[in-house]
Formats: sequence, C-alpha cells, structure tokens
Amino acid sequence: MRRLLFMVPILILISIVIFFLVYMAPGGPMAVYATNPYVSAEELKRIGESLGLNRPLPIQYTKWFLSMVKGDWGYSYISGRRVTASIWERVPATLQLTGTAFFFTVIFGLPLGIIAALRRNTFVDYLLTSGAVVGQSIPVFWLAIMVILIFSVFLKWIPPGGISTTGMPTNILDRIHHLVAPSLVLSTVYIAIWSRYMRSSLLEVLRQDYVRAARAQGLSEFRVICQHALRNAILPIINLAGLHAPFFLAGALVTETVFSWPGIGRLFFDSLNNRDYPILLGILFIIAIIVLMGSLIADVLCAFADPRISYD
Amino acid sequence: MKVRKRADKRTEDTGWKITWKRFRRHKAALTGAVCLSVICVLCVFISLVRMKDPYQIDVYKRFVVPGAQGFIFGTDELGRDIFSRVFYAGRISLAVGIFTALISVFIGSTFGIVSGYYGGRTDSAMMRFTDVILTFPPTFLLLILAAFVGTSLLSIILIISLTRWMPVARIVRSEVLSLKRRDFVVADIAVGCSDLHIIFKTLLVNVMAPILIAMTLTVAEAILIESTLSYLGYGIQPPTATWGNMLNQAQSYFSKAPWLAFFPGALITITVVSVNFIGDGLRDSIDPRLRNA
Repeated sequence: MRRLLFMVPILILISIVIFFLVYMAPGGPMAVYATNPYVSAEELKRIGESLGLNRPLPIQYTKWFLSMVKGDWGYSYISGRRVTASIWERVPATLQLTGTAFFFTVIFGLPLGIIAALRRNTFVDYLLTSGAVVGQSIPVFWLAIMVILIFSVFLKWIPPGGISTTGMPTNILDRIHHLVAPSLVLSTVYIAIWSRYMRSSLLEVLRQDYVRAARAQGLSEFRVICQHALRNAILPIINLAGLHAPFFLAGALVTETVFSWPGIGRLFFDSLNNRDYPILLGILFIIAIIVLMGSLIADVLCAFADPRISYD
Repeated sequence: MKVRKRADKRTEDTGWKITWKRFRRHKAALTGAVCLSVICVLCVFISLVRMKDPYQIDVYKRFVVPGAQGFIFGTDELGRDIFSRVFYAGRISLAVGIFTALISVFIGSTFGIVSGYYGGRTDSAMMRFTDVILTFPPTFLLLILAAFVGTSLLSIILIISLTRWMPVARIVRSEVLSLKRRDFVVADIAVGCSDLHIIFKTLLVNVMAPILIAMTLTVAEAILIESTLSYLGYGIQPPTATWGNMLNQAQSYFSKAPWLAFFPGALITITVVSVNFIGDGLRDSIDPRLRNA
C-alpha cells in the first residue's frame, strides 16, 4: 500500500515533465493552426481561448492533469476524435505485438542464458554470449528492413507489413502469419539482453553455499539446477521484466513504423509528424503509468517467488 | 578494482600493462578493435582513398549494381557513389557517438560523484531523480525533443547526451560510495582536505576505470540512437549523409536496389558490435571479477 502511495508523486513529477516538454515546444500546440493560411489571427486567438491556451501554464497544467485523472483526455487536433478512443482502438494491435514478443523473449532468452551458464567458458558459451552482443547491437529498424527484404521481397514467405490481408475476413492463421516477423524482430534485442542477465544471474547463484549444500545432499544435477538454483536466479529477471515492460512499447514504435503495424507506436509517430499534442500527451501519460505498473508488478511477483521479501 | 591514491609511475605502468595483456587475450575485443580501426581510418581518409564526391549526382549512373563500373557498393537513386557516402556518413555517426559519450560521461560523473560523496538527502533526491528518468523509455522523449529542438548535429548530440548520462551517474555513484569508506579517503578528510581536492585529486582518479568502460558502451548506444532517429526522419537531415538517413531514403527503392538498404545498416552493426566487444573486453581486463557479475 505504501508503495502505491509512493507512486503518486512520481506520476505527478513525470506528468509535469511531459506537459512542459510538449508545451514549451516552438510554435506550441497552436503551430498547426498558425501555419494554416486560412486561419486568421483573429480566429487563431479564438481557438486558443477555446482551448484554454491563454491561461498561465501552471493553471493549464493543473486543469490538464485533473482531466487526465478523470479520464477526459481531450480531442485530437487532427481528426477531432476523442483521444481516449483514438488510443484505445490501437491497444489490441500493440498488445498482440508486444505480448508475442514478450513470449518469444521468455522462451528463447531464458533457456539460452541457462545453457550459456551451464556450459560456462566452452565454445557454446562464447558463441551464445557473442551472439547476444550482436543481437544487442543490430539496429532494430535495419533488422526489420532486412527481414522484410529477405523473407518478403525475395522469398515471399511473409507479407511485407500490416496486421492482416486487406479485404479478407478476420482469420486467425492470416493474423499469425502477419505477426511472426515483427514480433521476432522486436524480441531480438530483449532475447539478447535477457540471456546475458540470465547467464550471469545463474552463475552467481551456482556459487552460493545452498547450491553446494544441495549437491552435497546427493541431489541429481537436474534437481539442483531446476529446484534450487533457477528459482533464485530468476528473481533479477523478474525485476528486469518489470523494468523492460515500457521499453517493449518503445521498441514497438520502431517495429510498428517499419512493418506498418497499426498500433500505439505508429500512432505516436504519426501524431508527432502532425504535431497532434493531445494524442502525444495521452500516449506519454499511458507510458508513465506502464512504467510505474511494471515496477509494481515486478515487486509483487518477486515477493511471490521469494518468501524472504515481504511488503507491508 | 585497483585502488591507488598516489601511485608512483612504476606501478601505474604495470597496472595498465596488465590490463593491456588481458585485453589482448580477449579475442572478441581484439577483433572489435581491429574492425573499428579499419572503419575509423576509412572514414577519416575516405577523401584520399576514393576520389569520388559523395554528393556528386550523375543521372546516367543511377542504381548501378555493387561491383559494376568501378562502384564497389553501387550507386543510389541519384547516381551517387555509395562507398564514399557510407564512409562520409560514418564521420557524422562516429562523431555523434564520441561527443555524446564525452558529454554524457561529463554530466554523469559530475552527478554521480556529487551524489555519492555528499550522500544523505542530496544523494537520495538526486538518485530518485535519475531513477525516474531512467525508467522512462528514451525513444519517445528523444523523438519529441528532436522534433521540437531541431535536428542539427549539435542538437542531436545534446539531446542524446541528455538521455544517456544516467547510467554513468549510477555507476560512478556506487563506485564513490565504496571508495568513501577506504582509508585513503578517510585520511584525506581527517587531514582537512577541501571537498574539491578530495573529489578531483582522489575520487576522480580512482573512478576513471569504470568511467572509461561506461564511456565505451555509451558510444555504441549513441550511434544506435542517432541512426534510429535519422531513420525515422528526426535525426540529421539530408543532404548530409548519415547511416540512418541513408536507410530512410533507401526504403523507397526496396525491391529495385536492395543494396542501398544493406550497406549502411551493415556498417552500423559492425561498428556497434565492435565498440560493444571493446567495452566488454575493457571491463573484463580492467576488472576480471566483473565477467560474471
């Protein structure tokens, strides 16, 4: 409970930063109208007043923050639709993409890290650790371009982008067909990072006395690793997962842009191009909440996995 | 961690010699160093190696396939030579990497030393602040800043530094925290050295190694971030070529000229992998205990 209360000031701090960042921008939120030759100075002033932009900034901020909390996120400058509606309709696409990428990260990243740790200082270990460095170093957008180029343009195995074949009724196989490439591309970096973390975390645990004690009891190596070592080694990874949750969204921005995936990242990018401030603010606000929720969920999961940790 | 306060010349030399010996044994790091040197030399001396002007437009030589007509990497939609463009672009990308690393290390280590040395409330306030920024995915902030502040070389460097100094600050802080309890620092405090003296003469010297490692890794990250921003159209703008904006332009000619998309990205990958391997090698050779930490 104390942790929940602690999140409020952080959320307020982040929201102040986001708000001023967006409003201090050259041209400000009125830039769209100011550059439009059909909008006169008179009308410009009227629009500004109707949006409340002539009031002092702290008052504008307070009003904005209160309405955000109440769920009234305003209207898009471009489409005139509710911000909440515009963002909400993009949520399923992004969740599918990031969720699948997260799944790939867990089923590839963790085992690779475990193998590297158990085969420490062998050829396999060097191969996996070096592979992880490469995976961390490839620019996501270039990987995406190369995947499209090879598997879509040349081999024609996968569609070049989009979430489903246009004009076709919703079909689960078709959706999966579209989903595989972008989610694998998105997960590459995290597979690399997680496997490195998993490796070092497991190595750290394997040195501990309780692992030696378990071995001394004559337990099979399999039981020592699976029941004693892994359970402890997984704790830092849970924290990492909580920390990475918002970063999946950031990675999704690039992946969605390259694969023209109609998700939140793509919406952010398009809104930035259009200087659509209410949508930008809305998405940043959501990310701030995900950041906080991510660390909270990680803490709760850690407390579940490790009886030594408890929160009041 | 080697902790020396006033190390005489002789031990100083052996310290770095040991480091160099260990570094040489790190095969990946050595390969990285060689690759990076080749790329750097080509970027710096490209005007001597290849006489073609990277901005020379030749409409009769559009989309020349790599290897044909003396164009090693082919030509782009305007007939410009990709080979020289890629290495001219490399100058910008490497400059962004190096200067960003310098600036973020400067901000980060100042922040980290002050926070760690003074401790108490200052420390917790400063660290809370870095934690909050650190947890926020930088891509969104970077894009907004780049869209609003501008996309000149200088502003891109500043923007990236602004979001990359926190890891350095954290590393330096934890290092300073452990140094603070060492005898030679306690001695400094006991004989009444001024804060500035302790910070610059004692602490800074001893956190140089972790700072060096953090700096290398920041170079790699900055190159990646710059290329991503440029690719999305919010980085350094054409006609100045960078690896990122070359890829941005290459997208329109996907099936017609795939090599346009291949070479700049391959160079980013090779450079960043090399720098990361060097960073790993440095970490392992400066402090071998960290290999598994």
